[in-house]
Order: sequence, then C-alpha cells, then structure tokens
Amino acid sequence: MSGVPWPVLRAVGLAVPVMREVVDIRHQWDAPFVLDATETTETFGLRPTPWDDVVRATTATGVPV
Amino acid sequence: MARHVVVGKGPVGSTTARLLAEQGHEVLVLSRSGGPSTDQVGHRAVDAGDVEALTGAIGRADVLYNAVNPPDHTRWTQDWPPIGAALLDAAERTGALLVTMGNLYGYGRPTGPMTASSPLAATDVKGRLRAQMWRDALAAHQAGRVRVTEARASDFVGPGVPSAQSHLMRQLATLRRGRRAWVIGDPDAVHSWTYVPDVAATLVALGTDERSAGRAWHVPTAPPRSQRQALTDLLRRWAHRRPG
Repeated sequence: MSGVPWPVLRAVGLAVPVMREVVDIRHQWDAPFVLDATETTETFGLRPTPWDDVVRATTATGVPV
Repeated sequence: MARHVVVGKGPVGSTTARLLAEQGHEVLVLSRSGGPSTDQVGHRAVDAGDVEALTGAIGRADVLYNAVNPPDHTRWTQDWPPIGAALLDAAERTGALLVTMGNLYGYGRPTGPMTASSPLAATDVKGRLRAQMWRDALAAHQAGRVRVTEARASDFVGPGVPSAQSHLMRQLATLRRGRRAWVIGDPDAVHSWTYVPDVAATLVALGTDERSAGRAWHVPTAPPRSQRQALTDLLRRWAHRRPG
C-alpha cells in the first residue's frame, strides 16, 4: 500500500476531473478525519456497530465491484 | 401507520427502506429507474429534480428522506442544487419531515474530532455546496415553512457498498486482485468509516423522533482506523473466513 504524492494527483487532475476533485478535499485524507457522534448516542440511544462486526459483515459477501 | 418516502435507492436508500419496512412502516422508494414493488416496499421512477413530478409521486408522506447520491462528483454543482431545492419544496408542500443524508464535506479541514455543531467552514466547491444546502434547509425550517433534519456520516463501509462510492471499498477491490493499492493521502492518518446499516438506523431514528428536527446529527461510527489498518483488518478477515 502506498500513498500517491499530491503533486502526482494534481498533475493527473489536469487530465482527469475526478482526481482534481480529490485534490480539493485532500484535508480529508492527509490528517486525522474523525467524526464525533456522542450527542446522537446520548439523545437517541444509538451506538455504532463494533468495528470487528463491520469487518465481518463487509467481508461476508463477494468482492466489491 | 406512518408513511415514509425514501428518495434514492443506492446502499443508503435501500438499507433505510428495508429497516423502515421491518419496523412496520408504509414505505415508498423513488428513484431514477424505479423498480419492482414488493408487499413491503413500493417503487416508482421519478426525476428528483422535478418538483411537480416529485410531489405527485410522493402523494401523502409523514417523512421524506433525501438519500440521493448523484454519481458523478465532478457534477455536484450542477446536479445537487435542483435536487436539494425540489426535495425541500416537496417537503413543504406535503408537510413531511425532511431527513437529509449529509456528509462531512461542509466542515472543511477539521481542527479535531467533528461534532454536528462544528462550524461549516469549507472553502472547496463541494464543501461549500453541501453547507449551503443545509443552510437553505435550516432557514426554511426556522421560518416555519418546513421541518428538516440531517444525518452526517463519514466515508461508507459495508456489504454492498460499490467501489465507486467508497475509497475503502475501491482499495479493497484492488488489493483483492493482488495489486498494490495507491491510497489517497497519508495511509496512516486515522479516519472514521461509517457502516451503512448504522446510517440507516440513524436516518430512521431521526425520521421517527420529533426531537431530531431543526439541527444536524452525526451517525454513530466505530473508533477511527487508518486506511492501512482498515484495509489490513478487512483483508485479514477475508483470508480467514470460512467458505459459505
């Protein structure tokens, strides 16, 4: 697994619009990007599915397409 | 029995419709292509950007869900405004509570974990667009024209999430083919991955509890994992799963 250098993405973005879009939101991917839903849990009693269960369910079906 | 109308039948719309039906609600799903109706869930084709067609297709509704996902991110600025406006207008005309599926784009670069009251400070085109859609909806709510709420989630993970809608699922497909995954950004920066069934549970909670109205809520999400950690977890599990 490797990270694509941003200058490469910017260069690709000149030709491929979807890559330009990714460069616009690089802040979502080059630093911690974390959501806090404490209020939802406290108000509605909803808790996140544990990560282990997410992994199990996601791999229980076929390869993503 | 409350009547719930879900606009959009991607992973979020479909999972939400199924959950509503399981809870005994009357459910209609509206989408570009429609689909065969079942005893539990009705389907109709409609252009979500056409408010007259949309209002006609909705008929009576207690809750209206915006689970639309324009597929081409490069066309958000053209595709979203008419759909957002039509959904808001349709909610006003039908008197339904509008529950919108949102994301975290509106916040821009975070300075820490994002809460639903973090400022909508995005400077990029897509972020400003989603922030403005919410501001328009909230202004209509505060003017007493309509009741709105919004669920915001991070990037999706879950069975049936197509690669085109998830960086994680796309990288997973690449790695499963034995190829190197070139991830976006820093592979070791932690990231929230929201599970689609948790998204559906949140949308249904917001749609069935009046306390949701007038503000946005975040979808409960497991503690963050880096791209490297999340992909390693998924691949390891895949390698060890039992056939069948």
